[in-house]
Amino acid sequence: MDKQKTRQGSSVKENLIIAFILVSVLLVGIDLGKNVTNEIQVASEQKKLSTELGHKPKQVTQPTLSEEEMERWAERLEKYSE
Amino acid sequence: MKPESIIEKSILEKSVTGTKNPEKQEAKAAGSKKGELVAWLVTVALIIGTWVAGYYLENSDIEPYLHQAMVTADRIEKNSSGSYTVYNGDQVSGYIGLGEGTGYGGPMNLVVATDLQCNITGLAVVRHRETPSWFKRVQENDFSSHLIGKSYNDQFALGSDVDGVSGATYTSRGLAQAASQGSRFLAEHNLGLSVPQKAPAGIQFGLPEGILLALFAVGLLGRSKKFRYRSQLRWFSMLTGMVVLGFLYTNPLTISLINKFVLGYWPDWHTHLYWYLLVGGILFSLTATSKNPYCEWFCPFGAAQECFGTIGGAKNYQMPRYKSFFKWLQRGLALMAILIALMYRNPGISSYEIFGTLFDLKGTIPQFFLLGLVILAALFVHRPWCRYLCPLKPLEAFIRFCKIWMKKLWTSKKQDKAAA
Repeated sequence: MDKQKTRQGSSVKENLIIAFILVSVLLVGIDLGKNVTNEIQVASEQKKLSTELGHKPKQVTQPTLSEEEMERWAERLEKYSE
Repeated sequence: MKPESIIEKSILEKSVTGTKNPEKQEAKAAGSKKGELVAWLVTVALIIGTWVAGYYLENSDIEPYLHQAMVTADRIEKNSSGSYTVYNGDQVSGYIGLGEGTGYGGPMNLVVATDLQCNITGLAVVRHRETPSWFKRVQENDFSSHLIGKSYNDQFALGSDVDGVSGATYTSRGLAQAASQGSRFLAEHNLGLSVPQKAPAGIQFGLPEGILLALFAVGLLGRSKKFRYRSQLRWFSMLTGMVVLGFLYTNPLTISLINKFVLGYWPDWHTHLYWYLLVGGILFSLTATSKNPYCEWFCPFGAAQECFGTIGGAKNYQMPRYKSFFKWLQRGLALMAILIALMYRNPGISSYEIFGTLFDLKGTIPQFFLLGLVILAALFVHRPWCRYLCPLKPLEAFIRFCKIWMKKLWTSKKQDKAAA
């Protein structure tokens, strides 16, 4: 009887330790999973943020005169300078 | 208490030297050793493979950031030095280089664009390991605009040269450091300018470093079997470790530090001497004396568990049936943590230790739950975290295995030579 009781007691302890380990591993998994999800989110957000954080794009200046008009202006300038 | 490796060894020896079919037992032991070797080799191969994969996945993202740093570029060409030359038409209009600074969460990589006088004209963040909310704070404060126009000659010192963002000082400092490094690199390698040397960082040797060295000495001395007051000295060492390295400085060894080293993020030893002493001390004592004074003698979390164990009368339960399963579960967890860090090239992402949760009361909800569970278990089981979950124990086993393997190789080579 005593032996049976100690066996039962030790199996309860064994089960408790196993439960502790499994729940702990589950909690570690949840924590790691959360971190990885955050990392993926950060990586996708990063491009957006870095665009804003970095140098803002400059407006490319468009010439208001066409090539022909520019040539005419250049000719007129030459005449006046002479 | 005997370390687990000694218990494992004695069990193995007993089984090998047993009277029941010794040949079979010997073959089984040799088989398990071979299996262990294969498992370690697979582990190393996985680590190398993930390291390479993480490296290439991360590096492939650099190119798009080059245009963000210099939007007016017509053409960008890579140089042999690792920097880039920017062309507008056929004319060189500037240079782009990479700079690295150390933020709160780890290294931060910045793409730095300069004009031909090496004044910064554009920046783009390639990679950061900061808490998103802190990084956002820096972004909202338009911190990068303070760095535009700075020259390689400037000091980039927060407060005097550049205004930092309050509440995100480490992040601001890391960005400034990266911008400075990038512009200095371009000045030196692309423009051939003489870059003034920065004053070298002084060696930081304070109370934690001194106490750490003393604890290593006490641990090595106290593990000698001849020492009379071994138990008292061990308790003194553990309590000192718990109070100073745990509660005062919150500096226990975590997997993130190992990940940092594996990833190649070796911080400046002048300013991070403590970590080099800790890792170096453990490696030295493991290889030279086969003993690890840190875990048994002054690990702050181990000491805390033993304190709880003393209150609850914790016992060292042996479960030979599940021993192998627990061992491989612990190893699997540690390997998973390392692989995740290597894949995302972020050392802290996979650190699942709950040291900061206990000593600094900082952590996530699952971490607080886990801490509660470990404390509860520590009341009845001797060091449950160390025995079943700590990722450093598999690393210790790996170092021990490498040592034995190298020794065997060395002696077999010597024997072969002698026979020849």
